[in-house]
Amino acid sequence: MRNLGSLEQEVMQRVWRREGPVTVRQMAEEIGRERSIAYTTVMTVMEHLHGKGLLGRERVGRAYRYEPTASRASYTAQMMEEVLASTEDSSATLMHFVAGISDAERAELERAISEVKARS
Amino acid sequence: MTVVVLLLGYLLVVERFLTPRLARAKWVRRSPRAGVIAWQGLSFSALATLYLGLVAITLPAWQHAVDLPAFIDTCVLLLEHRYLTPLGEAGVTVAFALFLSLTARLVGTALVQSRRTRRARRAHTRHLGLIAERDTQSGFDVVDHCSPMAYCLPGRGGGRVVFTSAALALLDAEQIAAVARHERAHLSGRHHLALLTARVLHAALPRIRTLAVAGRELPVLVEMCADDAVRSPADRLTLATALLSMRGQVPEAALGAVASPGAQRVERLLTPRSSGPRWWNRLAPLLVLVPIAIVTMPAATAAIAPYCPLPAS
Repeated sequence: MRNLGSLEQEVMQRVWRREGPVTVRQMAEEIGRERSIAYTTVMTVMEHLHGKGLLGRERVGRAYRYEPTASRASYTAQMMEEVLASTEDSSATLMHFVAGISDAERAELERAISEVKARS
Repeated sequence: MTVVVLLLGYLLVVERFLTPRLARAKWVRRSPRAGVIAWQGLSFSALATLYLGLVAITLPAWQHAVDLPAFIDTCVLLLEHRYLTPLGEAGVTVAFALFLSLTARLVGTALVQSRRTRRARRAHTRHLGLIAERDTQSGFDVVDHCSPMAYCLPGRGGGRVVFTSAALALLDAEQIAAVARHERAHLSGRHHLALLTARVLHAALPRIRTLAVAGRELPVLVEMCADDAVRSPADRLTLATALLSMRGQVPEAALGAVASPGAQRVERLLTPRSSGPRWWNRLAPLLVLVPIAIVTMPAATAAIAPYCPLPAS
């Protein structure tokens, strides 16, 4: 059986792709079309995701309907904000390929680059 | 006594003379790897000086703390005499307290910083797991995002290299390859460890100028080291254009007369690679030996006396 981590990823991506609320049963059926998986496993995973704040839920009858708390795009944007912030911080959590270059310098550097290209 | 004075003098030399010189040296930017090693050598030399200074002051007191067999008593007395400072018992106690607090600060800061970094990295890896697609051919992770970005994330299993979809659209195939090589150089060179060490030292000892300057210089030098993973002039030109495409904003006012680090890197990539630094500049790591030599000097000369049971030569 796959570990819960990769299952969480899969469920989250499926939920995002659906663009609408989904119950545990619907998710279990969807995954079940590709391979066998226990209903309780899917339920546990979706509860975890809810606990982590990635999925919100509302009760419908006896079941819960799950929905992502943020769209995939805004979740991504939030993450990338962290990446940008870390550059200032030089926290060495990650190393960002970027260098500050002022507008004036850019013009000069572009000229230098075209000179080098012309020479070669 | 002489030991402490010499160590203090040496620390002043490091702080006031060697550090500014290294910060201004042109060879450091030309050969960043040697430059990084020089800064690390200077940093550890300053740290060792401080540490060993405290140890030297407290040395005479240690014989009271430890029960020593009679036959080396005379030896110890001799050593005690050589290291004695006119600070008296109070001075020695203060020095010992400083020694303990310095150790605590270093260890504490190291633990806190490394745990914080590791946690942030693990969280980011998990986030990536949710939204990134692994490109099996190139080996990097692609994140669907409208702003062009590229970065590497150190971690278990060699770490990951991440590009946003906008970056892959903006850069051509050669530029992508060059950037990927730059990022992989960060991972294989474990640059994050060098940066973490410098940060820990500076955070634990904020008053030591050498460590503050090293903490500022190392990030830029480490980027230049990764730039140097790209070797041929054509590839370096490609990397320079990629840097320019992916540049970050820097306000004019902040720069003054100095070129921004980004501009320095681009200019560096455009000039042909020069020869390395002079041989004596590579000796910076040996500076760590200076405080060690100063501290062991009295003990070494005391050993000539027949009272110290050192192995016969």
